[in-house]
Amino acid sequence: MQPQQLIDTAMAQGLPAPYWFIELFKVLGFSLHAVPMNLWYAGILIAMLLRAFGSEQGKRFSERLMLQMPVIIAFGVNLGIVPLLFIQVAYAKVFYPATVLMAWAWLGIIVLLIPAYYGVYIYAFGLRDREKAMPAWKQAAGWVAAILFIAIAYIEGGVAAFLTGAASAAWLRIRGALPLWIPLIAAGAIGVWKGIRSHEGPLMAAVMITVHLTAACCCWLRPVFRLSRARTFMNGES
Amino acid sequence: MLIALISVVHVIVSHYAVGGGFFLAMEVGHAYRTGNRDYLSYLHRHARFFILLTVVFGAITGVGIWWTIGLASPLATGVLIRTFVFGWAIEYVFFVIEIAAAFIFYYYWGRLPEKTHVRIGWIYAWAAWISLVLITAITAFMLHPGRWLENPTFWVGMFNPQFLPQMIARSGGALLLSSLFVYLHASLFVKESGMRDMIASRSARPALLGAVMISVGGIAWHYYLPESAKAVLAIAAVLNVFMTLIFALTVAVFVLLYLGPYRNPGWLTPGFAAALFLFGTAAFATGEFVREAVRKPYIVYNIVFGKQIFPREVAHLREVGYLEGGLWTSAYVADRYPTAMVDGAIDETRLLALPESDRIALGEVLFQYHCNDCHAAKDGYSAAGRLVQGRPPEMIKSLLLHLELAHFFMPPWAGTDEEADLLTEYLTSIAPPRPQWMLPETTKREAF
Repeated sequence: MQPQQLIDTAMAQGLPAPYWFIELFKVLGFSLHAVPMNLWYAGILIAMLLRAFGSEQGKRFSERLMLQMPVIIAFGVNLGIVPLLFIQVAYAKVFYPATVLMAWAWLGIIVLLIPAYYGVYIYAFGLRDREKAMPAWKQAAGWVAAILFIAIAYIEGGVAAFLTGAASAAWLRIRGALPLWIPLIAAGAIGVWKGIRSHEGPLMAAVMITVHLTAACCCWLRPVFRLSRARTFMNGES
Repeated sequence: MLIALISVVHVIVSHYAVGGGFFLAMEVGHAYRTGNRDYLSYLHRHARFFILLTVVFGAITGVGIWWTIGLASPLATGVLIRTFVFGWAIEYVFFVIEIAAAFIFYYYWGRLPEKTHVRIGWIYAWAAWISLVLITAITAFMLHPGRWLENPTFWVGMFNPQFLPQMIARSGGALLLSSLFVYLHASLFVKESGMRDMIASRSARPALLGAVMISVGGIAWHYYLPESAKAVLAIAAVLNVFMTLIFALTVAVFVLLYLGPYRNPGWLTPGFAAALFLFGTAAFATGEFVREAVRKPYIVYNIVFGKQIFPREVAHLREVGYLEGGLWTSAYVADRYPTAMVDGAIDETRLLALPESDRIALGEVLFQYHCNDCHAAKDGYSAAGRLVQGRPPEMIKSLLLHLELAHFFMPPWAGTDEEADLLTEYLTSIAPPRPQWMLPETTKREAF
């Protein structure tokens, strides 16, 4: 059986706007979403490591980043709505099957995101209260948030791979996406570990965030490229 | 059930996100005008609670609704998104304004000129209300698309017959719920009785106005319901109970608001505020359940059935078969039961020649696609097994073949006669036997 057989060839409704318009907003929206998204995926972990093991400068950098993190997440989630909306318009035929096939993991993002987001707020409020040392439970909330966001990153990576898989191959390709994230996070962790004790700690962290951002965009571009090739097939009516 | 759970929780918080914006803008303005620093200090604390609840929980559960409707009803979601993509895009713009205004309002507290601070509060409130209006138009469309079927354009869809009633009711709901949240918060965190009395008194009028708007919107909602929805309300016992419950709870909230915060502000204790909150949210949740239930058998009225097919597809699927008509179902049968395939298509008669366990398995596939959107299988919400408990197979099959005639709120059967046999076998396998020791017992009927 060809996987293409599992993609509907006709939608009852045509596209509500020209395809390029929908594609433009999807790509623009995702690019804008990717910036804060990578700040919370890698940034929270890096900030927590810097606070625990970093130099004074590193600690200051960590504090500044985490104080802004609630606002970064709010706008980041907000910016995510644009690609979520337009991907459903452009790729309805693969988006819904992909999410249905991995329904519990997909729903898991929401379940994990709420405590992760509150964890960031608890930690940030702990930082704001400068008069006393941060209690252990507020520090723990920061670590929990860091771990939960990494878990969400893995699931999102799986969804992106699933979208590709639904268009071009069997959905076991989900496994193909995970190794892309492993070297990224490992590279980030090694870089931070080497940098945190030196004066260059913040600089190193900033470099790693940039590397993460670029690499994540590459992870994202791959399925987009494949889907773009498949768009004529998937949107035959447009 | 998952949709119901997430949406009810979200609806309660999101209405507070709208009404709470008006509360904060109005009350901060009042505190500045009267120079009441203590009240301002309380409002600052309330704004923090408001941000933590609405920006985090409210926003994420809102995304969660998109997640769940896409999983449970992908065709309906796809149709709504293609129809209203620019409605959502406009709503998104107002959502950005909301978030920016909310953060400026809270994080720049005490650092902005008073007039500017209050203006930011009003910008938040109106942006949030416009979001409510836009989303309400889409949910109203799901219940009554009006003239959209003849003229499928964006604005015809937005200004549907249910739009105004639901907009009035939801705007009132936002005012009422925000006051209930304020009462709960103030009763727990304001120790000084004078301040608590003032909060109780000042929030009573918006709450009473909200209750009146809900009643007016509710009556108009009922007036503009499609005929089938009114009929569902009249015959479904559970909905009769729920409608009575909504009426009783609304009256209780109105009376408590009038006697309590409006006439006797001193009554505002944590217990009283909790009772008000409980009654108010219970009425709201019940209302949302009824709103969803009366659309049956549609997810989008007259456009998409609950089982995720268009009405016009029924005739075709009755001819070629439900399994053959679906991409995933036909691929599943081809993969699992190649002996049932002839020239690349499913031969329905061959399905009936399969072993019993395979026939039941295929019946389960049919159940999952045809029934599972509204019915659980063996146990759970409106479990199909329980609904056909004790019925002989021929009665079950006859029911399946005449679903929409047996119950007008059920969708028509969309498969072949052979597929009805498969589904009957599956339903018989999961249906409990007729309860024992209940007269007349079917096996002893001749004795009566």
